[in-house]
Formats: sequence, structure tokens, C-alpha cells
Amino acid sequence: MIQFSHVTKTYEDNWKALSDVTCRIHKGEFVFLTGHSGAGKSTLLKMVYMDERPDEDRGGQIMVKFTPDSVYDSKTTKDSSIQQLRRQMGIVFQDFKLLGDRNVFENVALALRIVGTRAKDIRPMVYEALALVGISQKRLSMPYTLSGGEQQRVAIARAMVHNPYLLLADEPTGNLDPDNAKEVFSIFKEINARGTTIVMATHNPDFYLNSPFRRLTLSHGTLLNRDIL
Amino acid sequence: MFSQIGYLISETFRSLKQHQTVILPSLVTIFLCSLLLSASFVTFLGVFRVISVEKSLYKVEAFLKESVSEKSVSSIKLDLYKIKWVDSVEYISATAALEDFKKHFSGEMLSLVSDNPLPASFRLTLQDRYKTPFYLNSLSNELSSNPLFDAVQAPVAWVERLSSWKFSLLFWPFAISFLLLMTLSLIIGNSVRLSLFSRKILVENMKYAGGSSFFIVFPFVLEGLIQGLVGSLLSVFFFIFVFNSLQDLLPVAAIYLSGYGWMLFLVVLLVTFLSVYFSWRSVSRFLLSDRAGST
Repeated sequence: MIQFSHVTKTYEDNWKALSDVTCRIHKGEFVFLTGHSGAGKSTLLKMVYMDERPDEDRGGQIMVKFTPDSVYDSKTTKDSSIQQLRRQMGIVFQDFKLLGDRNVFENVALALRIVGTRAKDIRPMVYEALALVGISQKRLSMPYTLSGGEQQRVAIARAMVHNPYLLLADEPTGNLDPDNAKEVFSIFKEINARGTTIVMATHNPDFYLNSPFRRLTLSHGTLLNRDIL
Repeated sequence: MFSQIGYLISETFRSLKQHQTVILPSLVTIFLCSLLLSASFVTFLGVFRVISVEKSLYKVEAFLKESVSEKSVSSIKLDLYKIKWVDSVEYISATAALEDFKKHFSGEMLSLVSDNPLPASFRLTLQDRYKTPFYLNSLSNELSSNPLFDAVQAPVAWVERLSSWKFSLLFWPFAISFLLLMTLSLIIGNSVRLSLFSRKILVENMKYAGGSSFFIVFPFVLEGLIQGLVGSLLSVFFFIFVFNSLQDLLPVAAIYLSGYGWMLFLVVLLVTFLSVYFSWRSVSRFLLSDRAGST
């Protein structure tokens, strides 16, 4: 589903955020992306949703393939086509990125309105997504009245409301206490069990040490476990 | 698509309501700038009309000492045409001058004299390329030195004054209009930028959920359009009200500024266009810088 081939990303002052990263993430997989702060986890995720691109000169290539007809190559995908790529994935951030001026329902519905979903389809789809994360009863609440764990569940519902092929999560439990973090992790596992590919960046060993899922570890922009393809 | 536009319009009005504290000062500034811009544009109109009148001032009237025969008129005309700068020569008989006088002034003034007191005259105009105060003065001097003529009239002083003011009359309204347009652009751009920063999360949500550039940019551009349109329309209505109130006090100015409506229409069009353009530019730049800065 996602293939990184010798990906290098250099920022200002010649700082290499990623250096010669090669790996593959298969359809339906749950993959942890681990490493210390500044190791390049977020940059790697940004490469997948093409907020960043590899270096132009010998920067390598990223290929994201959802279906045989839906393939995105970092070398050939135009900026105008990125929106199509993002409509087939969901992204969850550490800081939730919920809109404080509208309730839970409207926050989740926004993702559907953006892609032009018909008005009559929005309500059932939002209810289904809220049920998936177990927060249906809070649909009319404002985000600031919710706990951190509940806010992150709303963010997950927003990312999942259009049934994406891929879910990217950048430190989704970073702002949560251990109990809420566990709950959020169990939601991710359930989503994965339904067939959605998940890439989760985290530096919380509680999740990945006793887990059957594959782990990609980055250190100073370099992938340590290169053998795992 | 239409359902999206409906949603985007509601998004715009939600933002306008939420950002009143940012939008209100911006609206007041747009109003004031548009008001000054209206005044500058209308002044421009007046200046252009005065300048076009200036061209028609380049004529000299030479009054004959005594009446002359028709044959002599033709001969004098030929002599006058020999002067290089002259474009046309028109003979105005004493009778024609009297008729003309009666047309413009009350006939009662002439009842005091038995005969026609007005002399015959020649009216000369200058060729377009010689329509300068220098040549008008030269022609006036040349005719004054001609023994056939008793007196020569030429608006030399007026023409000199208008000619020396022409640059200032055109330059200052232009310079002021330019500065106002620059100010407007900065204010609109800043207002949109402030609105953008306070809605950064919304923009990010739209971006990461696969919103098209149109979807992200549209509410901000519509917001700019509403601000520009409302601010400029209010200022134009206020200008018309003030202008109509002052018209009785300055009747001469009113003559030169009649039909100024299309100038005000131009102000509304220009301010609205600038609002839309700078809103679009601010959002586009923000999206680019947001991408570049997200390491």
C-alpha cells in the first residue's frame, strides 16, 4: 500500500529529517512508527499525505496505492491531485485539531462537507463514526466540555467518517493520561480489525513492546530495522 | 457543488459574526478610504473637464476700428490666415455681434443707445499644436500691432494659470488615489490574515480532509468581497449625500462635476475587486507559507 524507496528529506541548514528510508507498509497492516523526538516520525507521515515531498535531487520516491486505479507517486502527483489522495485517508494529530466553535456532530460532519457528501447522507455517516468510537451520546457537546480522551475520540471519528483505506496517527496518545491512551489504542485496534491500514507514530513503549504489530524505528532520520520489508 | 457553496456561504457569515472585532475596524477603514477615493475620482473628473475647456480658450478676438466692406473682409481674412499658428478665422459683423449679445444678455441694456454700439470683429483660433500660452500671447501681440484693430481680447492670464496648475491638478488626485489604493490593499490583506490566523485549525482541517483549494479559499474571498462591497457602497452613499448638500453652495463646481455617478461606480468596482484580489492572495500565500513552515 505504501512504499518508501530511498527517501531523503533535507531541511534548511542541511539538516536531514529523513535519510535513505526504504520500507513498505502492506494493506490492512497496523504499523508502529517509533523513535525519539525529532527522529523523523512526523516527517515520514507528512510524506505519506504529501504535505512534504522528498528532496528533488536524489530524494527517492514514495508510492501510495489504494486500488489499482488509485496510485499516487511523490514524483508525479501534482499539487492539485493531493486532495484526492487525502480523501482516501484519515489523519489524527496529537493536538486533536477540533474546532471550538461547533459541536461534536459538526466537527465530524465537516470532513464530509469538505468532500461534497450529499446532505442526506451526512447524518447517518456521522452517527456511525461516533458509534465506532463510542461517543454518540456526546454528539451535541462542545469540544471544550469533553475530556482529552473524548476529544481524541471525536478526532478519530472525524478521520474515519468517510471510511478511508488508511489511517495515519501522529502521536495520538501524546496528550492523554494512560487510561485514555489505552482506550484510544483499543479503538485503533478495532478499526484495524475492520480492514483499515493504520500507521501510528508513538514513543510510548507500552503500546509496541507487547504488541503483535510491526514496528519501524527511526533514529536521526534513519530507519534502524531496514530488514523488515 | 451547490450544496458545498451553500455551506461555504454559511461558513463565511459564521466567520463574519465571529470576527466582528477584526472586521469592524477594517470596514471603517475601507469606508474612509473609499470616501477619499470617491472625492479624488470626482476631482479627477472635474480636472479633466476643466482641461478640456482650456483647449477651447485658445482663441483671440480682434475688434475692428471701423466697419469694412465685404471685399475687405475677404482680404483681411486671407492676411490673417498667413499667420502660421492660426487654424480658423471667423468674421463677426456688428449686426451678428448685436444678435449674439441679445441672446446672452437682456435687451434692456441696449435701449439706452440708439445705434448698434458693438464693433465688428475677427475671431481666430490656434492650431492644436500651437495651443500654448506663448503662442496665444504672440498672436494677441501681433494683432494688437495691426492698425486695423482697435482692441484685441485673449484670455492669456487664464490660460497661463490653468497651464501652470495642470500638473498639480492631475498629479495630486492621482497620487492620493494611488496611496489610498495601497492602504486599502494592505488593510484588506491584514484583515484577512488576522482572520486566517484565528481560523488556522479550520484551514488545516479542510486541507487534511482533502478540501480543494476552492473550498479553502472561497470563504475568505467571499468575506473580502462583502467587506469591500459594504464599505465602498456605504461611503458612496455618504458621498452622494454630502455632495448633494454642498451643491447649492458651490454651483460652479456642480457644473463641472455633473454626471459623476459612473466615477463612484468605478470606486465601488475597484475597491471590491481589490478586496477580492488581496483576500485571495493572502489566503494563497498563507497556504504556501503554512506548508513551507510545517517541518
